[in-house]
Amino acid sequence: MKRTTFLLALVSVFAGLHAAAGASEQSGRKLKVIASIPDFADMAREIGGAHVEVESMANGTEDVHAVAVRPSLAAKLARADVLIEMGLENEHAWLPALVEVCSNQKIQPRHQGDIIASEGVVPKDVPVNVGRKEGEQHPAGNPHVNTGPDMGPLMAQNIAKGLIANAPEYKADFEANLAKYLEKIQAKEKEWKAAAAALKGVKFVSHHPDMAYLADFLGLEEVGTVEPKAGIPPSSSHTAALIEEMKTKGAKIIIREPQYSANLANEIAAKTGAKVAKLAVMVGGVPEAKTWIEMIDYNIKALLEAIKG
Amino acid sequence: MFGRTVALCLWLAAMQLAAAEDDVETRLRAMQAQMEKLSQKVEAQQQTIDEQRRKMLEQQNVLTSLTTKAPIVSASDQVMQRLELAEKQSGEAIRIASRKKPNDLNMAIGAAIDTSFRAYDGSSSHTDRPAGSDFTVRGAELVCYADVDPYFKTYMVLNATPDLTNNDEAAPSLEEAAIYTTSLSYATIKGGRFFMPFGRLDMIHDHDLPFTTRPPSLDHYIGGESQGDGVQVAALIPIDHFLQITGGVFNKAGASFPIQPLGTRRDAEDLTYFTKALTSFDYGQDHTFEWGASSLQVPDPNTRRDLLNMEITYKWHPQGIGLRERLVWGTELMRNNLRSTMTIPSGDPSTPSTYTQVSKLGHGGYSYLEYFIDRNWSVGPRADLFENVDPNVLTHRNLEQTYTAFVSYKFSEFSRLRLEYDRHEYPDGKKANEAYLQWTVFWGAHTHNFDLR
Repeated sequence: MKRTTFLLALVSVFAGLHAAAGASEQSGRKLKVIASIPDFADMAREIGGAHVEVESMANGTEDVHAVAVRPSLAAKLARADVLIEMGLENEHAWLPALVEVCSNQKIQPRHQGDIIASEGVVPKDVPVNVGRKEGEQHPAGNPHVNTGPDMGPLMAQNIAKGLIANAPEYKADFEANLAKYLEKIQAKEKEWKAAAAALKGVKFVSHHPDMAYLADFLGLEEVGTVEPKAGIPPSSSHTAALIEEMKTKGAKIIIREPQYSANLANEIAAKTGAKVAKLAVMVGGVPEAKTWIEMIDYNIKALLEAIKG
Repeated sequence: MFGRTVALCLWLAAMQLAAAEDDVETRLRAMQAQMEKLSQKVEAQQQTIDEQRRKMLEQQNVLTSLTTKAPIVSASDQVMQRLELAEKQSGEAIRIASRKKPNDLNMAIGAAIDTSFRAYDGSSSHTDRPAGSDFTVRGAELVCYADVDPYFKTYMVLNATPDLTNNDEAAPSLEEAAIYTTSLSYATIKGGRFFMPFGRLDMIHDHDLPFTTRPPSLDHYIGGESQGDGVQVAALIPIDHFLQITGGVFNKAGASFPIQPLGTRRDAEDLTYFTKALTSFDYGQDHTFEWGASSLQVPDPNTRRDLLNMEITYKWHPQGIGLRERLVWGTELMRNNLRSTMTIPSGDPSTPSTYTQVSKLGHGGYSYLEYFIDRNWSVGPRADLFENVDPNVLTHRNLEQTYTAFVSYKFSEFSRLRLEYDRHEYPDGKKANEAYLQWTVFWGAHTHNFDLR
């Protein structure tokens, strides 16, 4: 009797699953988009317009490499039509586990619903030596592409391409929205380039090596990172060596990402005379960065404030 | 005679003349035929020449119209065209460079070594290891995993643990070897030997636990990890809320569920049936509650077992006030009802012991708190209580209690030191102190699966 009940329960579960899956496909809803980080959620809203429902898994103040694996995220992924992720192993510590447990075939790796926003980027900091001795490396290169002011068009185009592939009926709208968004970015890029002149050659340190794309655009020079190796917590000996190096090389800015404690950055600043600039690494990292364009705006302004002293 | 000779000569001459006339006529005809063929060829060639001339004229006209109407390709356009080509080619080169390499087709291999020093002031009869001081390689684990094809994934875990009865020799044994589906919507079917997700911590390998020792209540009711040979279906119900239902059938679950001995028949009622429901609630971005209920049942009336588990986990993961500062509170409560054979010693060595079927009901569980101060340090207490359900343990008081404090230091994600202190209060009234210094490292391929969240 117990066996029969057990088997019946299993069959009922499967029947229910298939019925629910079928119903969700037939109901003709808006395209459900889930983005790994809020930057892609913002871009998907800009491009998708009224045809998409967008949610972000991480929020702007989290460590993008260590987002809390909440079961509720698996439930959201299970219902998504499209997943937008950075790629370059940016989300490797938390997203693959959620994608696997959600069992949603649309968004499994390399399926049509899996959009890689960084596709086609020329990655920076591709490690020559790959090994755990070098910390928590990203063998394909620095994954913090979203911090680069000139990376917006590439990410937006990849997202638009992915949305069109998943909802070709809205192609015209997606393309029109993309064109408008690219215009906005291009107009801003001129402002950012003008601002970059004042920052060219300024030396800085950041907590984590997540500013490579921003530094490249602005002409900033990285002196080092508070972490001795990517993902390895700072030690006192490394901090002492970093302070000396900052003094020798004349580093003027300590970039403090929102997910890291301010104490150590302030301590280093006090010993070196450098200024602490709190920069967002994702949309929502600071209250002023509500969109990707606003985030870049804010970050450049914060750097300009820091060099003013 | 002369006349006949002249006549013959004339006849021969006439014959030769006639033959010559025929030859000339034939040759003339052949020449005429050749002339006709030649004339045809000339005519054909003339037609070809005329055709080519016509085409050339047409092309000349086209070229003339192009040069007069179409704009001349400027130097900047040519540069743009070359840039576009270069961009296209570099994009392709990046795509190829970032493509998986041929050796990525090999399986991923990871390993872990879990070593410890232990000091214990109690009686050896209460533990698996000797009392006093004890260095142990608690486990040396090798993990391999890979995609099989578009439909399945597989993994295998070999673990060598020291065998005290064999001079601490550590022979590797197959801890897990499982295949699971990757192409079904909303569900995963898993088969082979693996740890079923009974409760929260029982499916977690020793070296991945938040403390050095497995909670004694789990160890007593399950027997180490919830290992079983069987098949399991896990389904994520496609609703807005997280609800996962899991069901499976196994030969056994963990070491406390004895496997059917060789030579005996295993009927369906001797198998172990596993069911679980797990759900979760978020309170804002910073708080998560998980609640689950699991059941393990062996229906056979002679060896019946009914083990129920309720798990509650609360996680506080504040955003933006310091990396990985967080708190986890985990609790599991169990009700273990089993029927098994109890040995009744006769008291007289010449008289054999007698056996009787007894039912024993026990309750137990643990609760712990782990506070992650920063990326390096975490600390916490744990309390574990359970009623001993060993049918051969008859005491006036069968509650076993263990109170634990632990502190962990992570050098990185891949190496960790941990200090643990345990205070034991055994059912026989005896008490003991136990301390561990655990050193654990992981290397090679490393994954973060959902169960380790």
